[in-house]
Amino acid sequence: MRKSKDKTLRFLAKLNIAAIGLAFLGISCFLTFSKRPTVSSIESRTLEEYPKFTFSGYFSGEFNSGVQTWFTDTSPYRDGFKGVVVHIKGLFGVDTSLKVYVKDGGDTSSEDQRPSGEVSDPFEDYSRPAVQSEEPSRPQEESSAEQPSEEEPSGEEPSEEEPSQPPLNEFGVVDGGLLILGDRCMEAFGGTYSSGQLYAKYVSNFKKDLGGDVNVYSMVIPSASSLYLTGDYYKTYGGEQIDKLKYINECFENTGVKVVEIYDILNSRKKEDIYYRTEHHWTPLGAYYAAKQLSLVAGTPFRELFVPGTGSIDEANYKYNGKFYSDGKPKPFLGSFYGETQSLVLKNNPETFFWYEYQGKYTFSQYKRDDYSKLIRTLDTCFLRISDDFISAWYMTYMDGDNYAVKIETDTPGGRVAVVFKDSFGNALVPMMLSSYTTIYAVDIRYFKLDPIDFIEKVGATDVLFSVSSFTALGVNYKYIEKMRVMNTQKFGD
Amino acid sequence: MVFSDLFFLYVFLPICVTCYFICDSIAAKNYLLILASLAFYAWGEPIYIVLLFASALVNYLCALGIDKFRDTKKAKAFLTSALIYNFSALLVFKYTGFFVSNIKGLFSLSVTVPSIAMPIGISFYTFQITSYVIDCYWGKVGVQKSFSKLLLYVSLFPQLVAGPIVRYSTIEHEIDNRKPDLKDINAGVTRFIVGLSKKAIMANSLYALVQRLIGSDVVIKNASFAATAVGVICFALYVYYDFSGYSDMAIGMGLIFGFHFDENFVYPFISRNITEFWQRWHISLGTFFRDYLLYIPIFGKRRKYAGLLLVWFCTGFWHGASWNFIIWGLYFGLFVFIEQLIGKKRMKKIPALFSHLYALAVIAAGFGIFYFENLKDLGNFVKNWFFLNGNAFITPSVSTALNENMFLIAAAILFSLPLTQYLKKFAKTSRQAAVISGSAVVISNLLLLAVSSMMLVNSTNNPFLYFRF
Repeated sequence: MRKSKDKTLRFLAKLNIAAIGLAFLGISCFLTFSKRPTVSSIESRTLEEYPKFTFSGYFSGEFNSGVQTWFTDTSPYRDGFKGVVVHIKGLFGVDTSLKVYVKDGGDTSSEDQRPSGEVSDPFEDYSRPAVQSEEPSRPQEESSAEQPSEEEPSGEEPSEEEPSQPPLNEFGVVDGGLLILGDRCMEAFGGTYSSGQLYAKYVSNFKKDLGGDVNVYSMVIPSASSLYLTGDYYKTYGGEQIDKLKYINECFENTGVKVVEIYDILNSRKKEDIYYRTEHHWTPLGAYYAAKQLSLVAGTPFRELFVPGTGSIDEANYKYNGKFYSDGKPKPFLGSFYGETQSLVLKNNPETFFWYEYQGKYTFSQYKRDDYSKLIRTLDTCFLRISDDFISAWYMTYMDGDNYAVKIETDTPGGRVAVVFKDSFGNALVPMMLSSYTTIYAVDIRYFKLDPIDFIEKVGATDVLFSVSSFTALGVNYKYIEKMRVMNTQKFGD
Repeated sequence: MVFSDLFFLYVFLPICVTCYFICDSIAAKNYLLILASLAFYAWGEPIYIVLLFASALVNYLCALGIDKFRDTKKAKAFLTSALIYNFSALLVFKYTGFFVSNIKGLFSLSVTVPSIAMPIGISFYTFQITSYVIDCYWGKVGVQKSFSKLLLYVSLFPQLVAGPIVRYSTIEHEIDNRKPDLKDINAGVTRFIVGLSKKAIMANSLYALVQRLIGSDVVIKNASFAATAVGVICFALYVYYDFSGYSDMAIGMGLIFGFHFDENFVYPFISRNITEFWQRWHISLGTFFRDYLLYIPIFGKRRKYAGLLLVWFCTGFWHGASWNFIIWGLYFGLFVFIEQLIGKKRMKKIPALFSHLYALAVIAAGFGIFYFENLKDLGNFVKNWFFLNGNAFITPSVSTALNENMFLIAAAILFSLPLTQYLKKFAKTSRQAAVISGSAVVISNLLLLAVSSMMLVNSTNNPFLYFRF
């Protein structure tokens, strides 16, 4: 009996050694000889490259460390394994309808009140440069004046940071707080009334400079949390965004700036796919409703997306397109929120990435993103083919992201010329404005280096639209608007 | 190189093990292990291999000198020389920055704090070689006449960079006489997989949770009571899984190569007091200080308490050149001192529930001191325990973190208990039970290896915590 037990134990020991030995051998061969990926679609990044050998690199340990990093980073089927790990981590706990992710340990934005008067303006002592001047006018008494350099966006190349994710700043904006409610991820909102007042002031300054001949519009695009958070959730994480948007509109009274109010229309359409669930931007459908509202305010022509009364797309005006397989099935889209949270509920509920191709004729020209001095290329579409490998970067399909200043010439009659000052939300909006304007210039407020007033005048703009997200208008990036106006000295065409 | 790196696991280790078993003679196996160990060390620290080599050589020569001049003053001089060399190297490479920055702060000097990269594993191999030379002096072990064999002891890669601190006496015989049998290799393989999964599955996941709960200066300032409490418990569990996982992998590899290293962790969280905790936690470090520092006759009549103070100061300082580690060491020393005053018999009379709770509370709070190297963050950590930062009891983000990780935390607590003892007992009951448990081990090993490997793909860089010591 004992002999038989020993024999069994010896067999099991051999089996264990053989099984693990073979497993090691198999995984070794798999990791060493399988094709190694070069990009990660989940993380939207290029993977580590095999390091170049140098003696100094070897002796400092950098070369060997680089080999190790390359070996792990480029593991075959890494994204597939990462997907499995998300499922494994799903077993670590229980699923709840609300998930809250904050980076700084604080769960709510600080309480904020409507300012009783005018808030301090960091650009107050700056004025627009004189026509012949090379430099912007500086404060008269620098020693006593508030130094805008402490708060203003730097004159250096702006960072790639998305404006919808303002850093923790002097206003106490929540930094990157994310919520998952059901299968929708949203950013907690922490913007302030003070920012909103200054945003309105800065846009109004454009109207003052441009006078009555040019229409100036403000369209603040609400973030998803203002639409999809209700009750206590909205109270805790909504940051009173709806009231702050109304406050901005109030600040525009008697300024001559026309407000394109889109909250109500978006709210009434929130059951439709107007905001992505796994990505921090809105969709072209949300942008369509906003563009339609703009046309009503501006009195421009507008081509409808749907055949009236049917809900089906009017293919004479737009063609539905997106990321699809050859059999027409949508490729699963997991946007920036999935990359940040690696949430199983988002992974299990991917969405469809889509856009609407305008059927009128137009050309889409991309220029150096800061000044229109160098034409990069001209295309016949606003929608760029972003690699399927970079799933979380698919939003860049719309106008190629924020990488270029663009000029769009359409077959729309009327001769209206629009200059759109935008952030990344504007990238989905501009392609829906093509039936309203003959020419559209669209620039990102964070990167533009030309004198904007001079530019608007020289291109003969009839309409100037500020279309930014609520995170920009009520956060920190609104300062770029005034910075452009008072600090950009370079003239268009120089 | 770290054990939890895919390159080590699936390139270095398979080549090394295959070559090891191809080698016929013990001498060839030893040379292969030396070569592999030096390659392992040189992989991350090509320059500092000189330091490792010099340390082995100096101590080899001093031990020969001790042996030649045994029982004379010259032997003592050789011992002193070896100790001065060993601790000078440790002081220079590990503590220079700490001392200079403190002197600079104290006297407001305008000197530049030197930035010296710490050689990996210097704290471990310095203590190993020190134990060897002292044991030679005391006549506890025979002097190793072969430099290559001493180099093998110092550089043996399974325990080179993060312990356990293996005494020369432990492997003295096995350097020349070892023949790994089926039982050892089998046990080694399982131990290695268990260690790997402790690191890749448990430790890495717990650390991610710790980062969410008490991760940075801003986070700890805003952290709720629940985040602080759960965060520090998870950190204690993380350190246990990280370090004991590494020790398991080291012991497992040792068994595969035919070496039998001593245990370094024996279920520390079941301790009923702090004295017991340190008999179960990082045992090789505790026994080193006990054997070589506690009873050295430098404090006269008060040597017991002064020795205790020195041991706990050194325990803390060994872990890192930072004040929080010193405080951490003295903190535990204080409780050990109090327990000594109370006495073993009285301590045993305390009901088990209370003594366990006492030990766990002291351990958890202690790991808070260990975690926060910045004293300001440590202050916020303490304030959070007493709601002095005005933070909430619990916040929705903490609830999310706890909901998403509740089974992980439960498993981490459960597997830190001696459950495998029951499995081992069950396996001995009958042939059928042995088959069931043996098969379960094979299946779970394969499963753990697969899951661990995938988890490692998910984390490009995940060094062991004790690498920095």
